[in-house]
Amino acid sequence: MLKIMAGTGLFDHVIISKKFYYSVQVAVFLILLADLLSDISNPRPWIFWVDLFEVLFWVATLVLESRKIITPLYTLGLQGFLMGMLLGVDLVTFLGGLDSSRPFLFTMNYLGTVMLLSGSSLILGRPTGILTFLVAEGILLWGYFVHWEENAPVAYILLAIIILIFSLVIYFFRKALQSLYSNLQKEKEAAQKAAQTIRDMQLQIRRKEKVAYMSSLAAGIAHELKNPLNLIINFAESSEEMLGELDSHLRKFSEPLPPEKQRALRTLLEEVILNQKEVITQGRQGEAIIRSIQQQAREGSSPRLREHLSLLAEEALEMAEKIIRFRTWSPPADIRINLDPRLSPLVLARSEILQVLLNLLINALHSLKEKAVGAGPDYTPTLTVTCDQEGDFQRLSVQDNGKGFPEEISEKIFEPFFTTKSPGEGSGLGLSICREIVHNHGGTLSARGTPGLGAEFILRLPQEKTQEPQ
Amino acid sequence: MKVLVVDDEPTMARLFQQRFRKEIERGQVSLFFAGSGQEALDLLSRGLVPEFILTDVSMPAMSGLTLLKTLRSQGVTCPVHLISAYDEEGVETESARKLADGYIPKPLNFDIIRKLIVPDTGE
Repeated sequence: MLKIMAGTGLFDHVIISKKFYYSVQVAVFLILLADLLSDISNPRPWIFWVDLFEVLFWVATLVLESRKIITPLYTLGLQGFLMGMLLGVDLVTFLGGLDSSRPFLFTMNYLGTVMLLSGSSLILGRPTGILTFLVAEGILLWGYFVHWEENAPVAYILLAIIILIFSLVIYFFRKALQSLYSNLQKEKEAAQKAAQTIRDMQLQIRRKEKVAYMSSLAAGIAHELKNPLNLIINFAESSEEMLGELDSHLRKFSEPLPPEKQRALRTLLEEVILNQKEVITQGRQGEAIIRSIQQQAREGSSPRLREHLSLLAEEALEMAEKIIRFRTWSPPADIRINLDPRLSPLVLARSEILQVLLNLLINALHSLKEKAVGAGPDYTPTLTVTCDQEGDFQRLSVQDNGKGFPEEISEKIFEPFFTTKSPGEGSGLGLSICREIVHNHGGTLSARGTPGLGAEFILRLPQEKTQEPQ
Repeated sequence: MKVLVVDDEPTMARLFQQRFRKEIERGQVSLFFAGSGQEALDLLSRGLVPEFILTDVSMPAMSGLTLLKTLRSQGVTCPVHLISAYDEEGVETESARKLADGYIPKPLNFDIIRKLIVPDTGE
C-alpha cells in the first residue's frame, strides 16, 4: 500500500494499493501515447512537439521514481504539472486566447495557465500551492495588461473564476475534512478514556470480589476449625486438671524412691504440665482469632445495644494483647488509659465497634513495634487511649509514638486497598471498613500523623442520633 | 443429680466423665449421654428422668432447639441449657433464650457447668 499524499495536509490519510497506482500510470501513459500518434496528421505541427514533450516528461518521472530519486508523491506532483499543462493548452486553445504567431504572448499565456492549473489544483492546501497560485495570477495579469488580445480577457477571467471556485471548494473540503478528523480524534480519545475507566472499575470489582472470596473462605475455614479447636482446648484443660492430681499422688507414692529418681519423675511431670498449659494458651489464642474472623464475617447484621464505649475499648485492648502480646515486650510498652467512667452508654453495634477499636489498637501497636526495632534504649513505646465527652459526641483517641505517617496520606489511609504494609501483610481494607462502620453509626473517624513521631486516630460517636435499640 | 448430655460429638462423653470424675465417684452426679436428639428422647421414653439437660444446638437430623421444644411439649420441666460453638445459630435470639434456661458457649467452661450442676460444692 502507498501513502501517496502523506504530508500534503489534504489527503493525509489516503492510502491506495500499489496495483491501482501502477495501473493508472500505465493507462495514462497509453492515452498520452495514443494522443501523440494522432498528432502526426494534426494540421498544427507544434501540437505534436507539445505532446511528445508530455510523453517524455511522463516517462522521466517514472524513471526518477524507479531510481528512488523521487517518491510517488513527487511523481504525482510532476505529472499533475504536466496534466495542468495539457489542460491549459486545450483550454486556452479552445477559448482562442492562444496565438502561436506571437511567441512572447504564447509563452506568457502558456506558462501562466500551466502554473495556475497545476499549482493550485494538485498542491493547493500547502503554502507552496498558494504561492504558485499568486505567482501564476501575477503572470497572467501582466500578460493581460502588457499584451492585450481581443479574445484573451474572456479566457483569463473565466480561468481565474474557475480556479478561484476550484480553490475555494478544495479549501472548504479540506477544512471540513480537518474538522471531521479532529472530531473523530476527540471521539477516539473519549472512547479510550471511557474504556480505561471501565478497565479500572473492573479491576476494582475483581479486587473486591477477591477480598469477598477470601473472607468467605476464611469464615468457612474458621467454622470448620472451631469444633476441633474447642475439643483440643477442653481436653487439654481436662488433662491439666488430671496431671495436677497425678502430681499430688506422685508426691505421696514416690517417697520410698531415691531422691534423684523422685526429682527426675517430678521434673518430667512438671514439663508435661507446662506443655499442657502451653497447648491451652495457644488453643485459646487460636480460638480468639477464629472468633474475630467470624465476627467480621457477620459484620452488618449485629443488633444495636446500649454499650459503654470505654468498656469496649478495654475489651478491645485485651483482644489486642492476645494477638500482639504487648505486655511481654522489652522494653515494656507504656499503655496509658484515660477513660472517663461517667460517660453514658451509646447505642451501637457492639461487635462492629469492637472491630474498629481492635483495628486502631493493633495498627498503633504494630507501629510501636516497628519503631522499637530501630530505636535506641531511650525509646519507650507509648500508647494512650483517651475517652471523653465532646459536645453531643463521645470522642475516643488512640495515640501512639510509633513510626507515624506523612500528613498528606491522612485521608488516603481510609481508602480501600491503600496500605503501607508489605504485600501479604495487610489487605488495605481494615481502615476503610472501620470508617464505614463508624459512618453507619453517624460518627466520624479521622487520623493525623507525623513521620517518625507517631499518629493519632480519633473516633467520634454521637450521643443521641444513633438508632434506638429495638 | 442426673445429667443428660446431648451432643453428636462422641468424645464429649469422655470429656464430661473426666471433668466430673470426682463428682461421679462421690455420687453427686450421674451422667447420661445421647448422640442425637432422637437418642435423648428414646432415653426419656425408657424411663430416664434427668434433672438437668445440656444439649448441643447444631446436630444433624434434630437440632438442639427442636429437641428443647419437643421436651417442653412433652412436659419435661428440668433446666435445659444449650451448647453452641457459633453465636449465629440463633442461640442468642430472644425466643431461644426464653425457651432455654441458659446458653453455654464452646469451648466449654466446666467451672460454670459445675456450678450449675453441683451448686452446693461452691467450686
